[in-house]
Amino acid sequence: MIRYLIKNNFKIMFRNGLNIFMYVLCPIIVSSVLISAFSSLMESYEPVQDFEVGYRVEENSDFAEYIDLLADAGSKNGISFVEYKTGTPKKLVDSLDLGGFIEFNNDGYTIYESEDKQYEGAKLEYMISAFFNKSISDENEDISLDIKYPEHAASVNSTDYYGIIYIVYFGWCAIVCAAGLFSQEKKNRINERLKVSNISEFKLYLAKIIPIVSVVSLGIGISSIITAFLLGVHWGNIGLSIIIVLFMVIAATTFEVMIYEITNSMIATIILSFGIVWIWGFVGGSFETYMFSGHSEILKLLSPVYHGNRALVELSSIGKSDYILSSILYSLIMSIVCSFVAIMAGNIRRTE
Amino acid sequence: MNTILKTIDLTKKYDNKAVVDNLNIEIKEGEIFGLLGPNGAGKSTTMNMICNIVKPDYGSVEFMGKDFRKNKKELSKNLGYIPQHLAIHGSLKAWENVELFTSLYGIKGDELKERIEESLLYVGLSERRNDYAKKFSGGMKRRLNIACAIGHHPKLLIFDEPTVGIDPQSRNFILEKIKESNKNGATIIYTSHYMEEVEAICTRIAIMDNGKVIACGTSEELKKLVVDDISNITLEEVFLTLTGKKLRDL
Repeated sequence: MIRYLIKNNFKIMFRNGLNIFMYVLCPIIVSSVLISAFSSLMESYEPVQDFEVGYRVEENSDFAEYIDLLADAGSKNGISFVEYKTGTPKKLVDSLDLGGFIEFNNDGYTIYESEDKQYEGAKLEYMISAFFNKSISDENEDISLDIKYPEHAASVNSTDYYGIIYIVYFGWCAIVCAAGLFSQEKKNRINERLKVSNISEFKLYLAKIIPIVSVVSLGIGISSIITAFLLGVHWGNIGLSIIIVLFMVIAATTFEVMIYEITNSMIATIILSFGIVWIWGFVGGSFETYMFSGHSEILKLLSPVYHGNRALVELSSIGKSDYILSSILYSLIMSIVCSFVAIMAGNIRRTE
Repeated sequence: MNTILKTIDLTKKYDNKAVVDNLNIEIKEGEIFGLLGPNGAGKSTTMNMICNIVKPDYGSVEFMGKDFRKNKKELSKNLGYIPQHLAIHGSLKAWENVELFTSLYGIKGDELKERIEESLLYVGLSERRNDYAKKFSGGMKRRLNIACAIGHHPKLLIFDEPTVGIDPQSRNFILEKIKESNKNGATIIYTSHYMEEVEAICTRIAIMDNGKVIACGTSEELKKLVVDDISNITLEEVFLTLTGKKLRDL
């Protein structure tokens, strides 16, 4: 019965103090250090609060008829439009601490921004552009704008970024969890005993994968809860985030167990796994934020860590991501391919 | 007596050298069959091929009248293997080790619990059932190693040097248990370097050298191969006469 094998393999891993250190304490320690170190660097990603914008409409301007609609769309998105009939726009912005000022002329408009409020200015630009694009396409009918998530105003901060990224990174180091079990099996030649019992290679494989995924998920799950409470890490959609992380842990486990089945050496497996995961993390935003990194897009897209990081960080910062599906699919395909190779490799070795 | 296990021209080569060379042995039901040989004689490889751990290059193993490799699924549950090395998990408790290995044969639930208790009691570890195996002495680990192989009530038990590195009390206990298992109906294959052990418990003995059986019979029959008066010769002297005194693992 495979469940007893799974249960006991789980116990062996769970009783290993190194696993608690690796999957519970390490993410907390590393993310705490990096959150603190990079908090000022990433302050620019603070979410934009509600702000006020001044405007003035020239007589007989074509834009006059849109002002009410624009003010309405703005108020729904945290921008209040206030009319100023007199005064120099630049002086008004500076003296009244406005997020920006728009001057509507007959054939166009000018936006004045404050150097101190670049993100408010960017949001205003985005909003105006989105509004008039929409108004043209909707031919002046009911114009409703949703500018809740403008790309330029991603609200991720160092707490969320590093709090999430290092949960992912340690999840990708899943093989450490099984190092004790695999070493013991090899040293004590327990596989020979398992082989005498005629347990199938597939069941033997599942009896390794399931406990590793369970222990790693449990460890980083506890770590995530602790960092959420202690450091204030904010995960966006918790359900989706759990699915993405779980798929990544399965992919990491199958990938690293595959390396072990091929090399039959724990040292080689650790070196290879950590090396490859480090490269994936390097191009995928684990060490420098993927927003600022200068790596080529192709390299980033080749890294499963990047897909996971980006999906989770965007879920946290803007509530949605185009990388959710790609992350899950990447992990799923990796898991299937690696499982197949691992079972074949194990089968070949054990029937020699 | 019926034949429970038969090797037919069993051959295994490593680096083009035959480690086991056309081996033909036949073991009857209810026997305690001793397999002796110097280091490198091919005993362990033979055991591994019998247990399906190593694939033979040529020949086959017939177990309970059927080709073992072809009927592995059906026949494996009738085989219990006690390896020379301690194939147990140190970070599992004694009962958990027995549970893990006994459950591999499809035993579950209450029956599994009963088998665990029975196996631990049999090897004298029931009072230490909740202790981690890593805390056990060498002798206790050896006994646990045995408990892990008997829970599924196999018809054939293979002991590969089960008394290596333990004190006389533990050794005596293990030998008594082997005899008890045999009385309860199990057939035993036993390998050891301790000649007095083999002589004391085995009903028939085969001596292997260079991958072949060079002599096979009861202790008395083997002694008669060397001298006429067997009262003054030990099995060890017979062994040395047949295999030579030259060191094997130089």
